[in-house]
Amino acid sequence: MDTAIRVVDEAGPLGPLLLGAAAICALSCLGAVALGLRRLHAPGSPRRALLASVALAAPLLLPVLGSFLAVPSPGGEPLAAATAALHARVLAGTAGLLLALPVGLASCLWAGIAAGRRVLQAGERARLSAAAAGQGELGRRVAAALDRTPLPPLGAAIGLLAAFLVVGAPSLALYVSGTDGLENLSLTTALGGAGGPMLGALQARAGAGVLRLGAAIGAGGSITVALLLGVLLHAGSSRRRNLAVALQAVDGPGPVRTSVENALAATGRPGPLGPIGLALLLLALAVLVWRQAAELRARAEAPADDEAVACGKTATGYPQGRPPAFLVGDRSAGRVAVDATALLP
Amino acid sequence: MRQIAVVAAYVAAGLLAGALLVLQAERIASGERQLWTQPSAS
Repeated sequence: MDTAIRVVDEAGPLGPLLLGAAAICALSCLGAVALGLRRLHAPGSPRRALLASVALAAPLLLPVLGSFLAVPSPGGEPLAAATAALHARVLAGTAGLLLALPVGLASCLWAGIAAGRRVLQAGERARLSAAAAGQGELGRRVAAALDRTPLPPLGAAIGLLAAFLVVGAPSLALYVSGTDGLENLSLTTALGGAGGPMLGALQARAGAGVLRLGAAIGAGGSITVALLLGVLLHAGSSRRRNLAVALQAVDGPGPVRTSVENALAATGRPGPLGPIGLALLLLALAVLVWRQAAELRARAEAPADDEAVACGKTATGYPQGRPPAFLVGDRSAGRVAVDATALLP
Repeated sequence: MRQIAVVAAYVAAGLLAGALLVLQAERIASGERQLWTQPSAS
């Protein structure tokens, strides 16, 4: 916690801005959760509830933006660049941790409310159609059965899963690796000599392990949550599901079944906004993934020379005209070692 | 069929989001590693 406070102090205007925005967004999401809990079964527009769900997820762009800033810029003085990147990492992690629970819960709860409202609309249409056909009692029973939809609470449960796995785990990994890295880097100036780069490389390796674990948990969670959200949102507009729920309530012979089927046939289809929005989201994600992968591929192709330089095969590029003193041997021949005496000041 | 297509689209979005998380972590890790293994300007 001390490190986090120090990071906010040292990060200039970016720290208070990012964390202030995250705190305001978290409070807004908590307000939206309270409002959603009061309106779980209230009638209303499903599309508006879906838009509320998307808007409530938007603050997650804050930690995502922070994680883009956390990629160290190559060139320049390593200690300064690494410290700036670790500051951004801690800030992104803290913003994500602040937002995880309220954003995940609020967004998925409102997605569940949107699905629930589609079911309520189906029930209302069934009631009206049945009443018009002279079977008012049947229509009321069908509407009452559909009104007891568990979709909004299911949405909230998916939100908890999203908060802990998709947002919480990568944010915690960013925060932990960032604070640990800053503490380790504070020792580099004390070490001096070749110890600084050595310690920097070691802490980078340890931090990468934590980051990879967080990202793997987040990736598994995001696939699970996306599958559950897809099923949840479209269960609300599914005629087959609504019919099954309604038939459980009436449980009658053939003519009754036909009447319920006719009544539920009036259930409206969702508009084209959902698929269009989903297609745009897919496109944006695909472009981002493509660009990230291309950059990583470019970096992976470059190190042939860097490794040779770092392992002493060639000494070009070093200001002193030689590789770091602590790296000895020939890595390409499987012989590379760290000379501990070179680390002494 | 339409429902299955939409749910498949959601799963694809989840897969891409997961890939983005993993790639972002790799970018941060490789960027930091390069800082310490590449020759510095100073």
